Amino acid sequence: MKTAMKDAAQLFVKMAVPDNDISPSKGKRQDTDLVVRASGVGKTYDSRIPFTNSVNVLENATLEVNRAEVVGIMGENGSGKSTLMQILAGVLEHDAGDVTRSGTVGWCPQEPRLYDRLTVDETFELFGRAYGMTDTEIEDARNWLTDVLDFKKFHDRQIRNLSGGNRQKVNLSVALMHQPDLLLLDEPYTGFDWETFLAFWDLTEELRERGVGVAIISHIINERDRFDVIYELHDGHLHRQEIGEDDTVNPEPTADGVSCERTAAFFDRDNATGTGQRAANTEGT
Amino acid sequence: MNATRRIPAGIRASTLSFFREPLNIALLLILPTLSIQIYGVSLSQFPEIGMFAVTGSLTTVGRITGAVFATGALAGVLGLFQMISARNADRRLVIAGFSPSELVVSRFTTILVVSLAISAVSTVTLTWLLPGTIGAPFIVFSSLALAGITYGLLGMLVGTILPRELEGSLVLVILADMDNVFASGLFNIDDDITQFAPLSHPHELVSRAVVEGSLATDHVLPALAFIAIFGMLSVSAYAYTVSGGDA
Repeated sequence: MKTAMKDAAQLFVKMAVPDNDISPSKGKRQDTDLVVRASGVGKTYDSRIPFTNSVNVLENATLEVNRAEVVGIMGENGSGKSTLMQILAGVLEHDAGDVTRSGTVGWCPQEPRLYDRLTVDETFELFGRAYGMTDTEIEDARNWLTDVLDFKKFHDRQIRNLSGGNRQKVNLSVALMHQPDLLLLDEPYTGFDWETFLAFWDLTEELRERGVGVAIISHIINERDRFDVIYELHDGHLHRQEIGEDDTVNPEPTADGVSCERTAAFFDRDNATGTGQRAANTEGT
Repeated sequence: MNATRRIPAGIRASTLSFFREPLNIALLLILPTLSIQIYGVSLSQFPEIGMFAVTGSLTTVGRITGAVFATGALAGVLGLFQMISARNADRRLVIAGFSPSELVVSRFTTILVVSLAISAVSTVTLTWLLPGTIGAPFIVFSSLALAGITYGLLGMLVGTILPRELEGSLVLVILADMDNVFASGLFNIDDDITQFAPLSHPHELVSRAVVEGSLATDHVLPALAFIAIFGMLSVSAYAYTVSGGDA
């Protein structure tokens, strides 16, 4: 798998973003670093049924993802994380605010949005053509991703016949195959085994080094060392947290003026308990 | 340039998806035979004493009616399922780079292929089950294809605006059933009313081709008009949906 990661690195040399454009992940940012910015975004789901309430999901949500930055988005069930991700990806319309993107986007939805009756190879071909890739590029991307994520042997199997974890690998691969500038991942490692989970983070690190901006949604971010910035979504508001060099959280007022006590409390609790999961992750990488 | 590579890939993907679904194949092989036989046997039980407004054999009329119903209802339901099952993946494909119009062309072509397949099976079954020989089998096939395309597009429309399998299927089957009663010519209903039943024109085309071996030219344009109307409505609704307009 390590060899595969090196191959991945080779392949990413071909990316449109030259190495000298890559900014350090925690340094001062230029405007040209920005791959997506959501500013004051609001979203309400209106009910089409009379006498039922509308649901206000996002309110004045502000978020930025830069090149070579890995951003975590966390929040409780139903807090609107997937809605935010769909708005960032351009899948869902927002009611208020602005979203600006620069460069190509790769979107990995929470539920694999794939064609169940197509094989893995056919799925790569279809989405590769959608991205405007040549046949050679599609083949290279397929070989690389099936190798890195270890599902090469299922290449001729229909999606419906794959396990949940392997289906998720295809889901992630479809988002990655065209080497986007911005990767939006909605709980991408659901169903992954430990080996694949580690391979995923190795891959994410490679992407960061190559200048890709990555936003990842998770219910519980216990891998905080891996993120440059964490946003917590609560009551429709986004609270931004920089992850400091000393591995502590630096609560600061957010765009809507709400301090982030909840996130700080979450990390304090995590530090106090010193979860085995985190220790194992550190060892594994 | 990219569209010329994307559209064939889209057509191939949706056609493969359709023919790899065992239920689709089972319905394709069984429903026309069942429908044609049941309609034929049912009507043959009635005494030919002028109870129905038909001039020919009740068995023949029943089998023609069964063929038109099977082709329309099956194409409609399969068009509906195709829309519902691919809805989320289609939207992702648009985000990936397919334009809604390219995807619409892909889906429309698949509906066309599926309708032709259903019509071919219905024509062969009708030829096999009718007592005599069919006067103009190619016209029968083409006319059944018109019925299939009409309802395939209607299924696409229902699947787009009502993306629920149970409710959508019920809507389509009830519509096809009512439509077919008007179209059958069994009851003496005013032509001013029956002309608005989408299946009435394909039904008349098939009847004339089976019994007289000729083309009912006065029904060709109205049948094509229904296809044009349903085509525009379903394509507009589908393009609106996959481009995220309904979100």
